[in-house]
Amino acid sequence: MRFALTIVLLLAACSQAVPTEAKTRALPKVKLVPRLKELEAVVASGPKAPSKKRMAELRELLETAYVAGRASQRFAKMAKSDLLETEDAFWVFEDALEHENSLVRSNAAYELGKLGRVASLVPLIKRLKYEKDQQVLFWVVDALVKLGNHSGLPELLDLMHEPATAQNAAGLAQTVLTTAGLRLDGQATFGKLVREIRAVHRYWLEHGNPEGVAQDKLPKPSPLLDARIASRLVDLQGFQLRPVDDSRFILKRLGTLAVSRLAFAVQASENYLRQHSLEVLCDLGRPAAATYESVLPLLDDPLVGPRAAEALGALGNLDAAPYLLQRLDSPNLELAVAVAGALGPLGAKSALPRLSAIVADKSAEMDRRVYAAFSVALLDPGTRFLEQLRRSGKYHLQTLDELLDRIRER
Amino acid sequence: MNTGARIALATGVVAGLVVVGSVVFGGEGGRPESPTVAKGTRWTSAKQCKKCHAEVFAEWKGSHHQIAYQNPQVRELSDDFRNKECQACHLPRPVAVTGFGNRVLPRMTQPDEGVSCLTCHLAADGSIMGRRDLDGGCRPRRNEGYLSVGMCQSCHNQHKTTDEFRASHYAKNGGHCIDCHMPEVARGKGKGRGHEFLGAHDLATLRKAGKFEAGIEAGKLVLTLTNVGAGHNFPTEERHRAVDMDYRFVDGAGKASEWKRAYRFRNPYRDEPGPNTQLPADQSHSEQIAIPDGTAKAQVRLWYRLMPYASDDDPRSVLLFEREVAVQ
Repeated sequence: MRFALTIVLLLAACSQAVPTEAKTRALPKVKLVPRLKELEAVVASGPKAPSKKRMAELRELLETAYVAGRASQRFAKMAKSDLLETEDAFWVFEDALEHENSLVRSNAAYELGKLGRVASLVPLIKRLKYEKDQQVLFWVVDALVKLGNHSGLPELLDLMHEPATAQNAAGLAQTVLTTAGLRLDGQATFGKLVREIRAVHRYWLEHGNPEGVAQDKLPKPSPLLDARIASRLVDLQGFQLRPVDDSRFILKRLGTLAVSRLAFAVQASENYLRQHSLEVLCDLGRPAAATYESVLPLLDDPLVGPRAAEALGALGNLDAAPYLLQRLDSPNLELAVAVAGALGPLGAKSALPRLSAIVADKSAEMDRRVYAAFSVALLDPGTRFLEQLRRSGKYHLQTLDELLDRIRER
Repeated sequence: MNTGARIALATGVVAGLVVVGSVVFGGEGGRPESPTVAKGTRWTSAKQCKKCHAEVFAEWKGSHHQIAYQNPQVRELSDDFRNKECQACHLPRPVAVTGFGNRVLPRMTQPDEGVSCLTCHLAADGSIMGRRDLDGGCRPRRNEGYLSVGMCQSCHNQHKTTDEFRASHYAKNGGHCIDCHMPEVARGKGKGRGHEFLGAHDLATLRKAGKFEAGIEAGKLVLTLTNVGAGHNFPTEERHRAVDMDYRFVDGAGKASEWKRAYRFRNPYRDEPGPNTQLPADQSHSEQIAIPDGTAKAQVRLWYRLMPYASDDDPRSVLLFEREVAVQ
């Protein structure tokens, strides 16, 4: 007992004499709170779809207007006009994004772009995930662009290479570039167009807002959008992974619009809601930088700590570097590996010596060495270690390929 | 740094080592205890288990659990795991971390090990779980959750397989997934459970699932499949899986017609039309086929396909049964 007391006193003296990193960098306390019920309440209090009877009427108008051969041209035109005059037409167009007839799906996407309701981003982005028809896909991307969302530009680039959609897609690409303030002259090559669209998409990924659109013209959240975002967050807690994956896909492509709700959700006491919200932040990256304060305390969370580390790397706030460095040698290997892999994307140059030492340390776990090498390659270009390891066949090839791809993308 | 501070630092370091040592080695009387008990011990890889459990390790190595994260077919279907939803079960953290029956979370470490020893045997507190308490080696501790169907459910109910099992008589009679998928095997002087995780990739296991009958009734060829051995639907799990009853007729001159499908048992993809025709445990399905004039015999086959559009000569198609029926 006396011995233990002596040790405690000595340790206290030591900590007074030499301020430790751990003391100066204590993590802010986290208080996990139930969030699910609150999110469900947001969903319940959001604007409601029209009644079943009303939706049936709207569907009838939609079918008459857009299903070829269903009515005479005159009636079809009248039905379309009637439909577009109704305030709640967007509900049936959103519904029609899953219509069996591809022409109806195309028209629905086109009209949703014109109607300009920001909440329609949610069903449109979901369509982006599943649509196989290139013509429909084009109109979905077109609608997203009109609603101020550039997350569909990779799909647009693919469509520019498809004979059936190349012309329309190139036209939309020109519109995107014009909005972004990049006017290409008539002599611009296809390659130049592609490069510029890639640059506009990079801007989207870095900012979560479309390039060239004035602040006051950016899409504004609406109660319906908020309810839909909340609904997607609620899905993250479920057992079946398909809805979880749908939600992750949608939330990460909403740019800055979902950020405040994600900051709310990462401090949920519901484990999967917390975990998957962090995963979305990992994908969203810099546009979600405002969530830094909410994510940081989760670094020592036994369940989601590794994802918090990864998210901190993606968010890009260098204030996170000391906290991450403290956990680089964590006995929790999953956390130590995630930290090693996060310091590179974070851009923490100060971590280079320690990361390089881990790469060189043959007694260190190979997972740590691999992810440290990944970060080193991002901070100080060079992929020798990973390439050599790949050739040796001593580590999971697909993981190495994925990391090398990510390095090249940067 | 002044001398006092140096002494304090040095003493602190020594004291720190003592404290860490007492945590790692269990403290009491300074006698090192089993690494399992020590908080500092990290079970991070299946390779750590190999030393004492070489036989089990050898069974697991190459199993579909071990290759879960590198299986080319899964990689193709999951777009190289860009479909993140697949990763959690194919490279999972230990089931106990999130709880038996709850969803697992994905990990970053040991990608070659897929679903490893630690996925099932590592407890939330870092100790090892087993069927009974043992004092040797990794000092496994009996854990009821570990022994429950919930252990399998965490991954295998993504496609409702454990729900199907719970609805069967096997579950009601106290059966467990391991009865078929981890059969008892001899281990030295005793017995243990096989760790090859026999299932859809094992012909003998597949053949036990279905009873395939063919006969002539009222002038028609009647094909019947009964799920006699699977405690869940046949086929189950992925929507890619299909079981086909095929037939053809041969005339008196030995000329055979084209092979035709009498029925397909399968849960279609989400964007495919049609109902789920998987065959639940203990149920039968029959098809009657008109026999053309001049037929001398009928040939029938039961196929198991890992992919619904795999042709008969594709290695992903497995011929389970083949029969001939004479037609009078």
